Amino acid sequence: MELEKIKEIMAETVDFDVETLTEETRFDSMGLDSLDVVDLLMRVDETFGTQTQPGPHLATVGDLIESIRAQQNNEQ
Amino acid sequence: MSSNPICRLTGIEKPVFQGGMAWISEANLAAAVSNAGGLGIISAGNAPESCVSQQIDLIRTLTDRPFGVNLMLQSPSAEAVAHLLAKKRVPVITTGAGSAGKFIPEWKEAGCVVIPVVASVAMAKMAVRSGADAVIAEGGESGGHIGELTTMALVPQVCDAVDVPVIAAGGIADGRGMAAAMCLGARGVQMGTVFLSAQECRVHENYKQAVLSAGDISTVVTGRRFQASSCRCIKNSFTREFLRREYSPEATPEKIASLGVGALRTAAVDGDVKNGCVLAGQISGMVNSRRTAAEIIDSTLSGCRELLKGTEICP
Repeated sequence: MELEKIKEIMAETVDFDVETLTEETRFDSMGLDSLDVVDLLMRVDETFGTQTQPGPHLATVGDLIESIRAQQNNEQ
Repeated sequence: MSSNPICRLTGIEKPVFQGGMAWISEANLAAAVSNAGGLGIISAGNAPESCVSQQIDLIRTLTDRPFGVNLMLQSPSAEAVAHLLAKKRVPVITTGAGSAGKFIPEWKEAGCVVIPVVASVAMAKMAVRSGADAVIAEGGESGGHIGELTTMALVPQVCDAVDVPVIAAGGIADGRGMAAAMCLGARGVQMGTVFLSAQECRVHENYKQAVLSAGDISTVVTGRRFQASSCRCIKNSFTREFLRREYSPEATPEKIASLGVGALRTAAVDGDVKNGCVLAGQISGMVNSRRTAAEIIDSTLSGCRELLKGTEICP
């Protein structure tokens, strides 16, 4: 579910074929720089009600999904 | 008490910050700026905790006015220095090269004012969400590590996006630049390059002379190719060789990242301004004289006030 929503957000903002996106996709392989990643995180956080911090721990789409799930579990 | 929100927030008299410059803005320059009514900022750069601690102790012997420390978040010492700044209750903390979110609660608990440097609207929103008291919107005209947006484009967009005061940086060196920044919605300015020429600035004389001699097209940006750290510096042998290697077919992100290691120290401390990295902004061409920090601040502020007198945004 998270992957599909992230694909929707990325389709709006990134010039990238989001259908090829998997949890293993690295943000740097998509040509995103650090400012692009911060921009993406803010949009993702608005959707999921999370507060994700950028950093080396967020290298792939899967890392992002894991962070969202962890934050949501902590809230419950 | 000043009605300017940056002055109220930080306790300074004049809404002019001296930007943190690694290997350059140490306690003596920062104290001179603070004593002149602005906000002097010590750069922590990549320095270890013990060096930053000494600088904080030193500036407290040189001024009783508010000062700041700039934390470079990619420094190997960032975590230790971040805790030190809280322990030392540094009045103002500015941050660069990353997101300071995880440190902000500790700093706020210690009573520090937190002002991250941002290069995009999303960075500004993230900083404010994490508890920042204000943000410095820095355009790519600046020297050192930069984003893509110019000051003219970045500042109004950040001002519209956040509800904290915004300080403008990048390409500002006199009253005209400050007035323009205030018209864009900023409530204060941060300047770096012009303070390189300050009499109190202890950067190597060769570095200072390189800035004083520079013209409008003297700077170039290295490191853009691999979404690596883009860095504005004065054109010299170092930048020519860097760019040749950066755009060669054999270049890799790792090889490029290693090219800059130690290069700033070579220029700023050793004075080798041919083979070292001379960080400076596009406004270098307007930095032509050696003045005191107080003269720089006062002439900037008076020039701005002359242009904006009678308006609500006059600082």
